[in-house]
Order: sequence, then C-alpha cells, then structure tokens
Amino acid sequence: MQSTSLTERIRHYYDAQEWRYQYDEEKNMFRMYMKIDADELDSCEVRTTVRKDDYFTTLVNLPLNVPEKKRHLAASYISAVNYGLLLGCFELDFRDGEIRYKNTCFCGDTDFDERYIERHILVGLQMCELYGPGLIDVLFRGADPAETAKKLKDKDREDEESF
Amino acid sequence: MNGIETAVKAYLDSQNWHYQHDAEKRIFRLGMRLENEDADSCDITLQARDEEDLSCRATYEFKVPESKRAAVTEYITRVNYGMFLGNFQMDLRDGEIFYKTYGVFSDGVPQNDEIRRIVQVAIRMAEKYGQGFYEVMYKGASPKTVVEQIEAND
Repeated sequence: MQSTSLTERIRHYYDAQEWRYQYDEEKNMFRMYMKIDADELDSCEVRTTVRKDDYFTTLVNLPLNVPEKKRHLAASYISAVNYGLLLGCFELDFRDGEIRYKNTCFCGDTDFDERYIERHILVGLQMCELYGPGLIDVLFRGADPAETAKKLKDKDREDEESF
Repeated sequence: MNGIETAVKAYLDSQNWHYQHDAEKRIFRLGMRLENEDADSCDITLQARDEEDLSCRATYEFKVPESKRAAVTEYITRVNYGMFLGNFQMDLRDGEIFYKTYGVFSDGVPQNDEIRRIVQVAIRMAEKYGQGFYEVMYKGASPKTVVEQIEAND
C-alpha cells in the first residue's frame, strides 16, 4: 500500500537525520522536539502525520500560546506573512492561542523522492525561525504586524538572491 | 508543454471547460460559477511552476475594502485553522482574496484524479466560505459565529 510506503520513507528520512522521535501507530504520526534559533523561541514541536494514501501533513508548533488580547495582532501578522507563501501557512487557534506552521504535501500516487520529504518537513522549521522573532516583536514589543512581516519577507528575498 | 501542463490540459478538456493558456507563464485560467448569493464566481488559475509543482488559486472577483480587512483577517484565520489542503490568503495592499492549493509530482506526470483534487478543493473551499465574507463585511456578523455556522452545516 502507498500509505505504508510513504510512512516508511518518512521514517527512513527521520532515522537518517538521527532525530529522536516517537511514532504513534494509531495516528500514523511522527513526533519530536527540535531546537530553533528564533529570538526567545528556542524550540518547537514537530509532528508529521501520514494521511490517507498520498499525502502527509507536518505541523510545527511554536512554544507559546498567544494571549487572548493579542490574538488579533497575531492574526494580522500571520495573514501578512502567509500572503504569497506556496508551501504551507501559519495557523492560529483563536480558542487557545496555539500558533503553528502547517504544510500538507499532496504527493500523488507516485514514488516520492526523499528530497521532497525533506523539503516539506523542513519548511515549517525554516518559517518558524524566519518569522518567529517577528511574532515576538509584534506581540511584546509593539511592532506593526504588516511592516514586520514585510521587513522579514524582504530579508528572505535578499537572502535567496544572494544565495 | 511539460508533463504537468499536458496533464492539466487533459483534465480541463475532460471537463469541457473553456480556458485560456499562457504558454510562456505555464498558466491556465478560467472562470467558475459558485453557488452563493453574493460571492457567486471566481477565477481559477493553475500554474505549472516547474517540472514537478502545480499550484491552483481560486480568486474571488470582489476585493475587501480597507475598513473591513481586520474583520476579514480574523475570518480567514479562523477558517484556515485545521485545513488539510490549502488555505485562504489576502493581499493586504488591495484586498484580493484567494484560496490556494498546491501539489508536487516527482515524476512530473500527475493523474487526472490528482489534478481534480487540487482544483476541486480550491473551488469547494471558495464556494463553502465565500458567502461568509459578505456576512462579515456587510452584514455585521462576527467572524467566529459565521465560521461556526458554516462548519456546523458540514
């Protein structure tokens, strides 16, 4: 079955990185914690769930819950960040302030190369490192959500061009 | 045309849909009716971004007025939470709204069903949540209530 194959490919990728993870067979989910370099945000929870037979979702949770009175600010910030993103998006749960990056890889019924698995798992970590500090600036240092997002997007573009 | 463009063309032809093809940008465009009172149409844009990636946008014809963008931001944020495939995005410069889906095909040859899912998810989401934008923008409804009502009807 393709789902088994996809699960095994993801397991192989996780093992190859020598990451320490837990696997929940019932949910078909890999779960681990990862250190990131993003201002006060120094770690995040990463969950990769294989769904159905041809797609998987990776959620990267930032280690904070946005206080209720700041959730509209956080929503403005992530909306500005999300615009134009191709792979995934930031999500905010208005009920409890959970904030995470979600990327679903719809990979079709094909043999899926490991480099795609890497790209789809790592994008959430990269986005949290890039945009996490801006979230802290918006929530706790009075920064403007749209301006902060724009500044970081411009920086990302410059880094890509210089690379 | 690369393998993805060929597959997209075959899918669109199989639906007997009228579309335009921009070969240089590898983009297919078509209009789509939605079963909504107000948000009753959208533009579908399919782009073969390279040899392996396909993105689809369902863009509404309306734009969100500047004074309503904060409320719509909350609406979109609530809708996006927990979505599996794709998400709504708003251009804060002009208030344009679209639903985006994306697929990657490492062999460069997607099947009809795979393209159908990428296109149909975008259309269905645009239809399902389209009227909610009008409720939030012009009828004074709270984003939270509108999302809860829509999802309760699932």
